[in-house]
Amino acid sequence: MDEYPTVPASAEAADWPVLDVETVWENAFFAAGYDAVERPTGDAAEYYWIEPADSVMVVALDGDDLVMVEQYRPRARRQTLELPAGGVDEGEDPETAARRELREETGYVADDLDHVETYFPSGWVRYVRHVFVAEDPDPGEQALDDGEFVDVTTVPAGEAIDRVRGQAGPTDGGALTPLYLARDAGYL
Amino acid sequence: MTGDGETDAPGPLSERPDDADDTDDWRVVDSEVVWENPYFAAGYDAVEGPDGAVQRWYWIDPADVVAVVAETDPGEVVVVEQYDGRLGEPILTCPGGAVDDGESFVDAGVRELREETGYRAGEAELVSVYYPTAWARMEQAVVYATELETGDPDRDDGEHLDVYTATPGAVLDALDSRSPAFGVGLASLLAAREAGLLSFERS
Repeated sequence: MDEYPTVPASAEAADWPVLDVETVWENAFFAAGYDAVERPTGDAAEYYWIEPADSVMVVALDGDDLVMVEQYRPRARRQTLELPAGGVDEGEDPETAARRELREETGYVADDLDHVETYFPSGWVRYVRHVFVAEDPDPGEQALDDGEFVDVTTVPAGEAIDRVRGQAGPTDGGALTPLYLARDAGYL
Repeated sequence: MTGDGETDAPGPLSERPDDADDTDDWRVVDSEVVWENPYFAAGYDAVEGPDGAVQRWYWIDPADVVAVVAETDPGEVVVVEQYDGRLGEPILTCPGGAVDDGESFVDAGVRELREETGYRAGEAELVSVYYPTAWARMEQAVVYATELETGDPDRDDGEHLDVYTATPGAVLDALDSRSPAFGVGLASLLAAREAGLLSFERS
């Protein structure tokens, strides 16, 4: 398994001494808490965080089209156009997770995935997103969980960023940033 | 389902959008705050889906934030490096910070640029607004600033950061070389390029 970076740094490796780590709340999806950290000035300060599972985002190109998913988002009360994506299971290799999520959500089966970037989206949230590009995966059958409502669609790859930005409501950074990165890497 | 990963977390909209679908297949039946700290509340909404099942959608609600792509007269971009106690490592990214209540994204960007780096921006415009992670009900704005005048920064006690300028391509290379990279810095520069405000090639 390749080594992929993540956050946070281990408490032992942190430049500023971590005096205490408190987990205040754990739910099915993340832990929430704070670290007491000694700053260079000698005072201690509390730094708050949540820690969910790492995730994978897949930029899947079928010829000149980008494979996307449409899902109803209860909070936004509308359909949103997104990249195939999901959480990395405990102990799972990120590339394996990307291949699995692409197949489950869209049916597409990818032999080769290119790793484009691993980044953390927000300082509050201790997790990373791994961005993979799949070129010309083979179409197949979706494998959705019960109660999962995902429609597969394709958009011309060159229009994908405008389509994501042009949706009603605030733009989904989970689609936008990976598409920017894929374009920067020469894929879109 | 709520169990599959971050994209299944609730979106950041705390209010029903005016142009929302009116199908009402999904209904918020409860909203609970479980923990509050000085920076965010953490909680969940219980949402009834079209199949009648009720699921919990977990969230935090920190303040909106802004990142500034500040371009100097010689065509360089300002970046800052600052240790982040939450992540236990230094972050290299664009200047920026939290948006105050009632403050516009552009005003917040100009203020944060001045406080962190000392640069006074004569011109500033909003480039993009997105939500960086579905776990957090917060928006991330990208502001492009030019006509920069140098001056003294106005940092909080104990706030220490290093300020650099370099060509946009060199900055993007530097951001990209961090492992992991900070998405906000990458997305801000790429959004400014996408908007035609910055032009650069990668090395």
